[in-house]
Amino acid sequence: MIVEIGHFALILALVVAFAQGTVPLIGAHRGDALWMAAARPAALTQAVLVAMAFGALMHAYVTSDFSVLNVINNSHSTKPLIYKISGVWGNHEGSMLLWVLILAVFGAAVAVFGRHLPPGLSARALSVQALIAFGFLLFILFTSNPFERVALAPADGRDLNPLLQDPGLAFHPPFLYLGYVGFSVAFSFAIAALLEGRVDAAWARWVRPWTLAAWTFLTAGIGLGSWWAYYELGWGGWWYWDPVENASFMPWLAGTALLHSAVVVEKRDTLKGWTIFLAIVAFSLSLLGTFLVRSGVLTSVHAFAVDPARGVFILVLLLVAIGGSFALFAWRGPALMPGGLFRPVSREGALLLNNLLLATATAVILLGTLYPLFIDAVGGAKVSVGPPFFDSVFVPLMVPLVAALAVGPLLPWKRGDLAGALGRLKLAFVLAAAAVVGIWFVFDRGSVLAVLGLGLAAWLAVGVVVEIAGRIHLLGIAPVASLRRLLGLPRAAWGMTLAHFGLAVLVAGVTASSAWKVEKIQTMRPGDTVEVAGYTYRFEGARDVQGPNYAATRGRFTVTRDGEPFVVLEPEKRLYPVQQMPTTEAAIRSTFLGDLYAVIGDAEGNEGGFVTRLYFNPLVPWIWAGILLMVAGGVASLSDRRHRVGAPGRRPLTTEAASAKA
Amino acid sequence: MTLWIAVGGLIALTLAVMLMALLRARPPAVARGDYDLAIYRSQLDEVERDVERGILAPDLAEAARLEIKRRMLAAAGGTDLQTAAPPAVAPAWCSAILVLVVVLVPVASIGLYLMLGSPTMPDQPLASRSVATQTAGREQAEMERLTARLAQQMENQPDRVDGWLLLGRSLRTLENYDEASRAFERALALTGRAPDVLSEYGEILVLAHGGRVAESAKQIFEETLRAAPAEPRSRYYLGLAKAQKGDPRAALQDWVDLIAVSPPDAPWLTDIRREIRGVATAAGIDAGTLAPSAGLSAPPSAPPPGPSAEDAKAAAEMTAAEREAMIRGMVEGLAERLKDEPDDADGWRRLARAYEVLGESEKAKGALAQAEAAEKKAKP
Repeated sequence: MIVEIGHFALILALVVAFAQGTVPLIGAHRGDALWMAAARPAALTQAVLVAMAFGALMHAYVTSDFSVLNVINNSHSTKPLIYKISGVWGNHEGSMLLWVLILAVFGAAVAVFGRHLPPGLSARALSVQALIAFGFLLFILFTSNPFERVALAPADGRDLNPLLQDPGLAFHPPFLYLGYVGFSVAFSFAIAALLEGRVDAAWARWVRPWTLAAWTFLTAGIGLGSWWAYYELGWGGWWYWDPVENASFMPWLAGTALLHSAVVVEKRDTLKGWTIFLAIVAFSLSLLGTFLVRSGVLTSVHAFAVDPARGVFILVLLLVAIGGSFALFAWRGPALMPGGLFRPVSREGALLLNNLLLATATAVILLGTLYPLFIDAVGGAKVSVGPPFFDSVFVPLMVPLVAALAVGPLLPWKRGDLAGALGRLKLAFVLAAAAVVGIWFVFDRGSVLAVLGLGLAAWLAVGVVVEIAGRIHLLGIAPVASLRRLLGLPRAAWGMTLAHFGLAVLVAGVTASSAWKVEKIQTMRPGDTVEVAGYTYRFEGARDVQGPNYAATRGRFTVTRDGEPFVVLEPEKRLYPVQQMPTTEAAIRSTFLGDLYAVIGDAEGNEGGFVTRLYFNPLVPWIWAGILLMVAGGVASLSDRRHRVGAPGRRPLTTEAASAKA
Repeated sequence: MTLWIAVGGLIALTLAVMLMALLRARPPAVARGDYDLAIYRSQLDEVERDVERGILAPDLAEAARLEIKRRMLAAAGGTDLQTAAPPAVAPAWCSAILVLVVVLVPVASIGLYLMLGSPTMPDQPLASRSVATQTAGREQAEMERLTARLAQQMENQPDRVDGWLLLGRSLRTLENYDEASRAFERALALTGRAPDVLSEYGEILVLAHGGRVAESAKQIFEETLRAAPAEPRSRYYLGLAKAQKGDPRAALQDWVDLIAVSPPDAPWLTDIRREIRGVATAAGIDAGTLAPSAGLSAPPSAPPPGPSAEDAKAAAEMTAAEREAMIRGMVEGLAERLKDEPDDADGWRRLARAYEVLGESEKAKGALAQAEAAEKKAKP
């Protein structure tokens, strides 16, 4: 009965979403306060109903209710409880339900926190939010219903893809979805502003924290995803420019651009049209990302056509949401009033440069991701666009971005002094040059680009420190006074500093791990030793172990450095019998300078020999640290109370207005 | 019943929340411009705070203040449509929306639920599953036990073709395609790659890949057809491979040809016709326009012998009880044959093992005695 109540709650949510998507919109158009007032309670009700449906599905998973088709296909009674729970969103239907749940929760949050917004704006935004939910709920109920039942429940389920039975992947989709769906708020507000034909001061103030929240979640989600790929897929890398990865990276790039242009709208009341455009792009790419991954279109255009109803529905939904919003933008966008002016060399100018580079990067990745699909769909040859393409177009765009990033925060608004800013960065330049020379002579003489990449990271890191030192007048005044200033900095400033510094650390990690990775693949018999980047790996043999729902071969390597024992690594190769699917569990030991990474493959010969893959991945921990710093920056900035919108009240304007006139 | 009480409760709560808010709604007390002014005021406060903390230079602060105040002036002075007196709410509209909500919500939600839901179906958590379904689980477990025992016995008699085939088919029924394919590989080696075993092996490879005809399976089917050009299962799967490669027209042609060379009462015709309809519809091809290729040989008078595609397919779809019946059928076939050839000692031993697997120890002892008798006869 709980399953059926969940099913009904989902249907009721659809009806409520329909009401919420139409009544307040008409009300806002007619200026009818009563109709507009329907938006907030509807948003809250909708969230509660979708949460009930999600809870009911989760209950079915936890109790192994095999009368539910979705549970049969994706669960098994012997699976550990945590993966029964994560199995709820580890499949198409359940993940769509999670998507709508997050959408509804964001809608409810707008209803709760948006009490002080102009009623017309909040009513329209909530309506747009509900229309998105309506489309998705229709899609779920009519093509991907997770509450479908079977008359005769089988004895047991068909298990979850064992690759997904992993903590990294269990929590990667929810974060990713929080990010994707978070952009829906910026999108809804952008559409509402276009419908109203005006961008309120509250608009930019509102869009920024929501974008920031979405961006933070998406950063964490992508980070978790590549961390998972790094230790679970066992090929020693963490990013492959795979279409699935690109699908999440494109909204991130667009969202990063949006985050920065929203600052300009708030502070300077300009770039409004561009920011609205970016908000639409960021969410459109999120939609595209969701469906690219979920529809199966990436593995093959033909797999997509296996379920034509689903495919056609997705296409129509994308067409209405993306096409409709761009059409609206083309129609209403030009009417938005331009705001304050600025010189090319200024904070605004720097943020615009950031936007242009990020938007170009997004466009080339979109091209590289969709081109093979397009060629395949029109019946051409199978082409694949891989890392060489992306590396050669993405890196040249990111180099000027990172280089300019150190300068931008030093420029004041409206008009800046480039020479002055560069003068303050002398120290950064000297240190970066020292880093380049040092690395070149001490470690490596082969890879010029990689050494320059590390130099760029050093330039950015020192630039960030110089910026914050300037703010607190470090060395200019007494240290105690500097410290007081440091503590008094707004949290948004802290957020920016952390995120930019995190990027510097990330750039260093990415550069080093791709340039100086050491890889050794060989067959080893017990007692054999192999040396990888100064560490000696001795293979002690492998034995069979039994896990809760898998059988594994566990290898054992004793690693020594200069004869001293360093660590014991025990990689596993697991076989999940229900699905007959092998997975690899790499054994990783992180050090400050890099990861020792061991993978065991198939048995070879009769003397206990195994194929082994041993890696040294330099600075990979820096990648995770950089991402963590960026997430921390997002959280710090979010907690800044400047982002909140206060209640409007009637206060005499005379004094303020008079001083402006003077 | 409880379900409908819950449904009613949900609808009532939804209506209550929405109607309460609608009934309490008031026109906004502040004009549109005031919202902007509130933001600008807080921006001014921020500038002051930054100056106090010393993180904003006085001249920059003054410029910022001036700009914000200019915007305030524009916001206060600008004509704002919504600043004009809020329109009165006509009572007709008011009641219209109330009626709309009260009617639409229950009617639409219950209507859709009756269309999509299964209101009579209770939850079936594993812990409280009925005895019947648990029996089904036990039968499955019994089948697994028997198969495991057969696998163990095959270790000792690795040269029994029928044993490997029985094991392979049982494993296939248990959806353990990996080991099933290994059992079939043994059978293949013993039969010198007989076409009927080959094609069954190919089918297991397809099942192991989740229904996809991979390159390895394709080669097996091609090998089968070289030895037995009429073998229907291989022809079917090679057609499926074409469909999966995105060439539905070629696949349909293969299947239409297969129908043309099949005897009119071949058991696989129904399935193939259904498949043709499905693929043709998905690809937008009119199934009526398909004609067999020219120069096909006439249908053979009898379907090919041996446990054919259909037997195996049927085995996959059987319940545990039916499977046992099939195994029994095979055992009884062997027993019949031995009545006619009582001197086949190996045959008697095989029969004894089969009875043991089926748990019939009396019959097993009898068969063993026959085997010993036959051996004595062979060594005078």
